[in-house]
Amino acid sequence: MSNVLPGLKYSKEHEWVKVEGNVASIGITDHAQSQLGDIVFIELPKVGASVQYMKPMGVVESVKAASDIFSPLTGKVVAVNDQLTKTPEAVNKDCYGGGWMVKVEISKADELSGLMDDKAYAAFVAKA
Amino acid sequence: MAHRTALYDIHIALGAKVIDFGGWDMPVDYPTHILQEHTATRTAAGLFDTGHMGELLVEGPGALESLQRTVSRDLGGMEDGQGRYTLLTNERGTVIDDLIVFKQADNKYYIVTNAGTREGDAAQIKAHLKNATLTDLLPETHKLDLQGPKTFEILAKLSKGEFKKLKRFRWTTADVAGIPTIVSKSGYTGEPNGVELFFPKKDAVKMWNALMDAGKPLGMLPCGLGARDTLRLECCLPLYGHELSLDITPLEAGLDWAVSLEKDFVGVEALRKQKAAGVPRALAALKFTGRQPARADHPVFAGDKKVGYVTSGTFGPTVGGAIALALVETPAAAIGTALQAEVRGNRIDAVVVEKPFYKPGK
Repeated sequence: MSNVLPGLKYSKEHEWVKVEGNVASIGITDHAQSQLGDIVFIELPKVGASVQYMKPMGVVESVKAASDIFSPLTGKVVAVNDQLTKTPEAVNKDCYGGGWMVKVEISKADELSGLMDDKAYAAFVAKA
Repeated sequence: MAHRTALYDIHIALGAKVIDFGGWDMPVDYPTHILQEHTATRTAAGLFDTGHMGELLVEGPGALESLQRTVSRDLGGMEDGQGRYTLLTNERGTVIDDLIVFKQADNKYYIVTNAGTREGDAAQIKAHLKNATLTDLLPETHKLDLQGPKTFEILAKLSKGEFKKLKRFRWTTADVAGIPTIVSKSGYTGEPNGVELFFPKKDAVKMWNALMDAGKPLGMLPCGLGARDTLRLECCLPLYGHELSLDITPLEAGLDWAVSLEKDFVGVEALRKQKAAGVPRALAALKFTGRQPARADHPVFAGDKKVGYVTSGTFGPTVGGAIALALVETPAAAIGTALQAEVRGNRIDAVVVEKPFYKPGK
């Protein structure tokens, strides 16, 4: 059973969002990392880049295959987890903590209502 | 509906992620994931369900001659229980499948095929049979691969058979876990110690469980197609549909040693011509400077010039970096050549290295 944390928002593409003020931390969920398997490379947007709601903003390469990371929100990237360049396996080990990917300054707060809460996401994953 | 092996329910119960491979629902990895499964095979042992692969029997007084006319490699002079890797080629000299042909006895040859190609192989071989018959053994046969340094220690728990002294590509028959089994010292991981087991399909669950019980305490893991792919790619073993296909000749794939140009077989004239004119493309082993893997079909460049494409690419767990095989214009395959693969619009740097990327110790 995959781990779903309360207090976060979730996208249908298996990203999580943690909102603090007008900044959202974003990563991929435990379900996503478990489906991908061993992650060996991560391509993320640069600080200052604009990301669009449910548009690809990066790529995760596992040993198996490449998968897009979708931005769950529209906004501007204000921080990127550079540690993942050297230790992408942090996403497998601690996807909600050390495996965070980017922080985005939220420009369309109403998009948050299009995301799931933990209960809805847990049900979504159970059905998948 | 896709085919399933007799072990499908076991894979599901183990938590395997299942994908379609050659028309079969097969485990790509278990919850242990590819890196652990790969490493278990290199350091202890890995157990692979290869029940999707095909087995064909060609027998009769014309068996050898018929096969000699059909496959690329000279099959003469084999002892009973000896196998040879060979290609099944068409008139254009491109590849219908890669096979291992074992001589079971005089006038009796046992052929191991890939999964998705079995029926086409059977049709191609049948069309060239004279005084021989072909039987599809898949309906009654299961195959499992046990690979890695602990292979023979595991087998010794289940069988009195003498396997360790077998040479590569030789088989013997023995009782394993009470099941009549063909034990062939061969495999698709590059490991010098590894066997492929052929036995009655009805005993598949019993054999799997016996091997799991015997292997687990020694560090063996069940492994999916994902680890099978990284293991074979580190050792530069070709995969049909990638390094070999109806668009690629065995000479381009660097398999000259499996092509006997001095004998007559389907496609030999095209291959002789290609050899004489100079083989236009070659399979290059690319080691990337970074961790980012290129994948199949990504274009490959030498400076501004496109010189070919990636046939297989991954992160090599034992190599510890991104690796790929690429089919490129022959001059670009020279060792030491700097090449770039284009991955989602970015060029990533690689250098052509000697094959294989990794050579397991004995």
